[in-house]
Amino acid sequence: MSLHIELGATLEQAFPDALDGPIEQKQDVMIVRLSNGVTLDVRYAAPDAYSLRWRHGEAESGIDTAPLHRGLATFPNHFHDAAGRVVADPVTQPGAAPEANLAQLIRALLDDPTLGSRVAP
Amino acid sequence: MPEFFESIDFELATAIEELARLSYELRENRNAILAAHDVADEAALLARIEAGEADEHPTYEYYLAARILADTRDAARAALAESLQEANRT
Repeated sequence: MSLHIELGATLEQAFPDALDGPIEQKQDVMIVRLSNGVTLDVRYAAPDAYSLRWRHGEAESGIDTAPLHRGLATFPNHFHDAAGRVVADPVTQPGAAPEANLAQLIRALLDDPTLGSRVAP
Repeated sequence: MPEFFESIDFELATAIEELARLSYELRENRNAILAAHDVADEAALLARIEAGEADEHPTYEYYLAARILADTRDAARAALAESLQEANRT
């Protein structure tokens, strides 16, 4: 019925061992819990309009396409890191298939929940 | 309306009722987001973010949520129309 339903089914099939329970579907957000303690909130309205925000312990981070940070190399998509900085998005590409972007992000979060190793200090 | 439901089987009637309720909830939830930000539609909400009149977050998440609710409602209404067509054939 919606993009989130299709995305959830794809992710559950692609990451059977990396999810901590079934993906939770609400009317406007999909919640993905990973086995390493990351909780990811997915709002995907279109391939070029999304917000992916996650929590790991006390740390909160996110990638989104709000068209505000024109100075960044990846405008409009950008990364709000756990320290509160706004930097270029090291993972997703607007326009790419949503399932590909999400799979890439989940693999990156399983490897490094803050994505700290993917951005300059 | 009661007569309409008497002529169709239970499963189809239940599906129609659930889709109608879902469509209503989706519309109301989208309207609540837009009303809370005093805008008429999603484009106006995004414009407020771009103009710096609203915080980037969580307003951008509300903008996306409104779009998702609208798209899902369209899908629910299409499914409802299909179910009603099926009911009218029985």
